[in-house]
Amino acid sequence: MSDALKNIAIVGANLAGGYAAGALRKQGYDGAITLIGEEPDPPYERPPLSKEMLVHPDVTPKTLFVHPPSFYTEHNITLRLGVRAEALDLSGKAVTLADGSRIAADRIILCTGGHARRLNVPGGDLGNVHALRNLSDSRAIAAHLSPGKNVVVIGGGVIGLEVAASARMRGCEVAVIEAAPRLMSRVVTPQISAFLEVAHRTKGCVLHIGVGVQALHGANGIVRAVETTGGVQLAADLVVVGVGIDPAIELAKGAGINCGNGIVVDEFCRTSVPEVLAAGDVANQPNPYLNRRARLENVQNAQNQGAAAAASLLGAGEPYAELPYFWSDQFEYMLQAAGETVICDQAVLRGSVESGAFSVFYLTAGVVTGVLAVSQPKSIAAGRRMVMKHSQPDPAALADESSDLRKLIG
Amino acid sequence: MAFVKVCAAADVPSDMGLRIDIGPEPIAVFNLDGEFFAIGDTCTHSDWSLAEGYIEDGQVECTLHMAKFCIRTGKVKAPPATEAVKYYPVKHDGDDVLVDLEGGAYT
Repeated sequence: MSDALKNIAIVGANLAGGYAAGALRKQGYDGAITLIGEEPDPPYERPPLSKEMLVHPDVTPKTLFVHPPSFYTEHNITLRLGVRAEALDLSGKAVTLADGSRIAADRIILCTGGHARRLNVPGGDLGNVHALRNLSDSRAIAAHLSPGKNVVVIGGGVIGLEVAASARMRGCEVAVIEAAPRLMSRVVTPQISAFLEVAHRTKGCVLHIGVGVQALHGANGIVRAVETTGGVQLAADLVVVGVGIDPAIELAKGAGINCGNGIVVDEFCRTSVPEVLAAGDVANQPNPYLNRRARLENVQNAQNQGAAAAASLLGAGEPYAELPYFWSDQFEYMLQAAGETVICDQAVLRGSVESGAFSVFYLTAGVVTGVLAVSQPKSIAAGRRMVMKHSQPDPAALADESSDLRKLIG
Repeated sequence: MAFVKVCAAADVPSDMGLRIDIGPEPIAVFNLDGEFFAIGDTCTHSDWSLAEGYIEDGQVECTLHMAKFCIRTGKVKAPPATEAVKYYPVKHDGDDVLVDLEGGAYT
């Protein structure tokens, strides 16, 4: 560690930023740490926003906040919340904030995450049209959910389907519009999309798949209907837009840092500028399990990459390698997926899809490269290890529910 | 100290967990190569049964978010959990596994 290292600024008071701050202290760094966040809240986890917090709006989930409030004082971490970081002044060793203040920074970790994409159609800015990214978005959506309300979800991806399930569980009439030919097409195979279609339709969600949105129509500035490209008008008291995020690269770009799809970093989370590192949803990093660069938008990555960037900043880093993993709760189904769960040359089913509890192992050239489970979490624990060890189990044994998966890891 | 029988040894195969819900909180009983241990069953990060977890190197990995706990002590071994689970005194008497359900403590 350089003697000159006295001030570290982390931009993004979120899961990645919160873990980065904690990891700096754990590694023994005793200089100043400033955690800068545009939102008023200290770092929180986003998964409950589309699940528990919509279904049970009066209960604060115990997993919501990344650290208890006392953590920041105990670890001497300065929180600068509710203020946007405006620019990186690298020669002046500072981050400048929207309120005009300057935060001294010898090193900077960018955990700027992403911006929820807006709908670029007429009426997209009407009232009661919400994206879901932040705590305030979740609270605004939850306040609108009540029995009989018409909720139109635009986007049949992970967030859209979780919102659809949560709204349905609150008694709303729910319609989902997905432009692609199938649900969650970016992250699952057609077999799983088909399962999700049946699951949502059985619960009473109306699915419009393979159609886009033509326009939103409103009265007095409030949305009333969604018109699909198929010419169908869907009544809407609330519209939730879940069409993905764009990485928040403005600060990095402004500082001349190399950006592509996100901020380009190496395996040590280092950007093209020596003083700046990046982690979380915004970081585009080579991933050894996918054999390509990837920008992972998931909890495990935010947490572990944030900590990895901190270690790397202090010279104690190791090449970071995260197996992609996400989970999604929709109705009573818990879907978990690890590794490559779209491209494969063999998909081995364990259990029956109809039972609602099954798993699928994805193999390429005989090697397990991904695993997906619906309400069968033990398959994920073993499957993750198979992917990491490049296991080549006998497909017949994988499919046999009586086999001990641990013995197939090899 | 009140040890009660919670299960038969044969109910907990090696490197498997068993959830028992008869005391103040559900516990998870584990068998590490013939030695029995009991810790609080509920992951301290998100409500999930650790008895369902993946056992490796004396630790149990929660299958939901991969937090890890030491089966012998209940201590956190990997995030996102930050708080330990309780560990419970265990006796292995013949075919019976006995646990002091009131004796849960943090290491």
